[in-house]
Amino acid sequence: MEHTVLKRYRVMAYTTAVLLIVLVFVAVPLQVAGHPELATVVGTMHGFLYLIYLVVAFQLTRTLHIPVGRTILVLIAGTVPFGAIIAERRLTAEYSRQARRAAKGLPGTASQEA
Amino acid sequence: MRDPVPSVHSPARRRIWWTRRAVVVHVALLMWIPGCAVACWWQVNVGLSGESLGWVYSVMWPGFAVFGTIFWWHFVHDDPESLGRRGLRRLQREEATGDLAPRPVDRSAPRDFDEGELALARAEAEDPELAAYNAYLAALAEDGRPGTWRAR
Repeated sequence: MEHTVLKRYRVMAYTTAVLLIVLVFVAVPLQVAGHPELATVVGTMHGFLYLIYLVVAFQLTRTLHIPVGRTILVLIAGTVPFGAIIAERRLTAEYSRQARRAAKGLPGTASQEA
Repeated sequence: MRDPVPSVHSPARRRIWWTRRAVVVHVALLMWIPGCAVACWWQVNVGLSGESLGWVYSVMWPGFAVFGTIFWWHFVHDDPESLGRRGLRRLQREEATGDLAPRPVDRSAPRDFDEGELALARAEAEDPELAAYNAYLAALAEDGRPGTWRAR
């Protein structure tokens, strides 16, 4: 696996997470208060960037041999405020665990976490 | 002579479609696609009511349906024995019993160690004295270093 798979995922995770936090905690309250402009812009951006998040997140979970259930949680994390940040921390930890295992010459890259 | 690659119609190839796990994935997809269609239609109505964000989401739901289909294909073709905790247990079992045949270099394995670190890790694995000495040097270097969030 290339390190770039992880890097791509991390960039997209933080981008979608920040946009979603702005959308939920700033833009939506503004919309309720009668200023819908920001919600439209940020909502559109998050919408399309989430599609890219899905692609890069799926790519990373495949390379790390993440089981189906956890893969789906990672994909959904992009639609929950702060979810993508938590998923990013866990996947990065999983990545370095597997990298250490590979460096020790141990076979396989299966994840060690439930 | 037998064909080394099973044909599409061979029982081995057909079996993966009807395992319990595969059936769960099929059912999930069968619920997902109509769900996306309904959500798309709902967003079209939101768009028609004058909310422009509705048009954005009405484009995205068909996209989610396409992604769902791609994920479904991958999940059906997964080997559950190589995933997650189960995969690790299998590897440990093979290591313990010595069944592990020498494998070709796994190019898909994560790499964030440079060649030097890799060579060092291998040398240390072969030479416990070297490993002990390096650990001693690392402990010396650790002393007196201010603690940061990186240095755990």
